[in-house]
Amino acid sequence: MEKRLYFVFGDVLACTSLGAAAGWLTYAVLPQNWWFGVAMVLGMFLGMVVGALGGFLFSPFFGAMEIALPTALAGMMAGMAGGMQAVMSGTGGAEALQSGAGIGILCLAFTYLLQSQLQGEVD
Amino acid sequence: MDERAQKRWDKAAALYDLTGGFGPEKRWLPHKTRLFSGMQGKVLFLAAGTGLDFAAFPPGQDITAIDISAGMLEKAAPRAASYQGNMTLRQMNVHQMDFAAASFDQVYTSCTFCSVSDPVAGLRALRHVLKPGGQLAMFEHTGSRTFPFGLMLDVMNPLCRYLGPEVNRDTVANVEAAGFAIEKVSNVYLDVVKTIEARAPSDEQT
Repeated sequence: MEKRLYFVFGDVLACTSLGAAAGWLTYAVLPQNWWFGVAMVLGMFLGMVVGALGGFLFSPFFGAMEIALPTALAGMMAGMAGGMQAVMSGTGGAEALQSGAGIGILCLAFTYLLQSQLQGEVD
Repeated sequence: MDERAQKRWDKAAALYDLTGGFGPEKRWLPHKTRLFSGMQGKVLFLAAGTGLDFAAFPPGQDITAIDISAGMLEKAAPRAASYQGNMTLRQMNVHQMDFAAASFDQVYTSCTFCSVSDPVAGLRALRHVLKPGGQLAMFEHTGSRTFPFGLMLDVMNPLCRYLGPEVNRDTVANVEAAGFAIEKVSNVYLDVVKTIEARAPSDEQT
């Protein structure tokens, strides 16, 4: 698991900012009158694109796959949540932004946990 | 020579150090240094790229580094010149290498077989230039068998393939399919970035 603070900082920065961006963007572009399921699936796809492409901004500073995979996952999950929020009444862009950032952190924690299990010699 | 691939990497050479020279290389340096520390004898290295990997090579080795792109090799030249050992750069496609059979004791690769057009044929070509019983050591990114990353890499692959490297190859299986015996596989990042150590069959096995 990554223990160098510089790279941990980069992972957190990339996943929170791109999670927030994906959440807000899907909330902003998906119409409120769409069916819940369609908004969720389209949000996932749009979010993954945001996360994967946004990863290119952070990659030169913090790593290649170590940035691309968690940010794509964070974007996908935050986009799904943003899509759901878009069609739900009573939520706003600020909520989509916040939940996207939180989902980004959760996705990063998931990849760190997975990394602790997968790293090292394979049988 | 695969002119399309050559042109693509020639173009990429201009920004290659900017995009991959700091973050990715610093992150992978300890793992690459560990893998490359096993270099001994006459070593073939591919793909040289702009020579970013040379910093992880142990000094005093006899290394021939090849790359398909003249643009990449032009950038790699100063790094090769400052290497504390014997290093020769050659522009060459792995599918059309002009080395004699059994020329090398070891072959090392670094993020290469995501881009080689026919990976099993390329690995067979490496086996041909390796001495019987010679070692193949690879630092590569591959597909994943872990959910959801395997699925995500499959979804992203068509776009990545268009831009250059493929991101869902089963390189361990390709190494076996090319006739090498796998000795050790270690995951560096998830089950995506990994080191693969394998051996060409010895004389008795061929």
